[in-house]
Amino acid sequence: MLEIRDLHSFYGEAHVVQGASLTVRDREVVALLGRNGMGKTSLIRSVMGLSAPQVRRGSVAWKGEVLTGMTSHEIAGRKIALVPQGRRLFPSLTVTEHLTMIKSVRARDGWTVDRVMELFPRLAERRQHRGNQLSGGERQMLAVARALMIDPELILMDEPSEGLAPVMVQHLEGIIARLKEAGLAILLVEQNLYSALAVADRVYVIETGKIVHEADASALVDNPQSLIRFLGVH
Amino acid sequence: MVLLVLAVLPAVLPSYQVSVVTQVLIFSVLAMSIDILAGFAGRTSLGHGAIFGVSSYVAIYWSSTLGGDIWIGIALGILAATALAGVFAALAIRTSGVYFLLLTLALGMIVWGVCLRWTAVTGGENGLRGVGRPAFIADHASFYYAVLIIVAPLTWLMWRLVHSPFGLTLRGIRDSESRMRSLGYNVPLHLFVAFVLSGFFAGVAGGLYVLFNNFVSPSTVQLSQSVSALLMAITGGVGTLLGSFVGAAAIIVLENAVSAYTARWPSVLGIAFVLIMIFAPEGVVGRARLLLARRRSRSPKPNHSGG
Repeated sequence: MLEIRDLHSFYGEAHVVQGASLTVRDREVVALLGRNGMGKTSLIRSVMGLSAPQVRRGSVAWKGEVLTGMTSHEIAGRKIALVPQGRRLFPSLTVTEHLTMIKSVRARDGWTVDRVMELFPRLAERRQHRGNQLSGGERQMLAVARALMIDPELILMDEPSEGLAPVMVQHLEGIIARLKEAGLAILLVEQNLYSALAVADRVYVIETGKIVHEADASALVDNPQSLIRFLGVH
Repeated sequence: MVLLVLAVLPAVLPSYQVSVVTQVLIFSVLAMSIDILAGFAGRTSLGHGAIFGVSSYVAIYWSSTLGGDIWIGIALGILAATALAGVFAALAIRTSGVYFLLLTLALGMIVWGVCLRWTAVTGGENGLRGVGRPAFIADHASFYYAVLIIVAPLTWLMWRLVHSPFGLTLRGIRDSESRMRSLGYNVPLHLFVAFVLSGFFAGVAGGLYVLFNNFVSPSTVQLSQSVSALLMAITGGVGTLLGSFVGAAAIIVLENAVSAYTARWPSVLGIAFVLIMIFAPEGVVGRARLLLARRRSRSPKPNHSGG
């Protein structure tokens, strides 16, 4: 489905993604692990066609079609959604408005406002609250809910667990599992090894812009030691 | 309710006051067209006076100088205004903040310069005189009703526009352009469409102004026209849309009332504007909304737990 081949991205002269290759198959949750500054965010920004960083070599293909060189809105039109790092909500729009901006309340196909609210009952209670009146967990839910409104087949999530309380992280893991059941593919960028292992089918480890390790999550659950040396966490 | 009051006005007011209210309605449309950009997309334009005036010029040139039908003239005027807005938009949408303000100001100045110097077509400083209103709307009351019948659905259209998903994307752009881009929105295209639609509404206001004033001169397209319409939007409350009616009424009525007593009425207007900016920077309607919301939130607050 999503195939990243030998991707090189630059911030000015800084070579942040140095020939990364990875694949996300149909209905698969793939976690991209790595410490701060290793190029995780740069990699998914490159997939989404966001102007910084600049892709200079390699390719990103989606269902056989090359995405490199397309603008972000063209890529979003191909049913790829981004849940950006730090939620990135609109402070002056209400919860409902964040969703109806993308799709009318009357829409009946795919992900509707009602269906999204069912997945996030907490948001349903906060319908009229504005982006800047939500808690961290609610913001993350809304960021995911908003991404769902474009009826994506692939969601790119940039550190969704960042800054959330453990109970919220657990809740989020449940949401990711339900989205997988609903047929979505997810590329999850994470620093948190255990959160990634709880939901992912496969994991990649990125270090200084290169993929240095790839493994099935099931093999790692009992023996995460092999990853810990890459991540320097415990 | 408001519509009902507006409908019976000509029966109770003398004809001069009726024409002032007519003027308020026309300029409310211009102020709302500015508010679509300023209040929702976060782009404050100082070029809308020019767009408005070009519509008037084209309508009068067609009907008076060329002797064509006035309605076709107005339609052509609106078309010209929309096209001009397209040109302005193409040049200005990639800028924001003070650069957008200055660029639209400069574009407006170019239009003003053309109207002033292209005497063969525009009559230069003498301006152009129109052919008068068609007979069925010649008197003040029937013209007032005609304007009301046009302005009411226009207002509804603009209201729908800013509350549609498209309007929400504009507010998203105002909040953060980069977020909209990363969500996959074509930000320049949305701004372009918003500007062109806004220009269309300014053009309609310009067409109505031809029927109202029957005369157009470079002062119709000059900067002070843009500024006064922007002040109307700000006085009423930027981002409230309907506040433009309050703002237009306040400024036009004040202008008419104060100028009867003193030649220094612009100073009085200036002081009034300063007071509004100090005590109600959200505008009259924006302020009223805030007070209402505050009263409502005195009832028990929804709790903000979780995280």
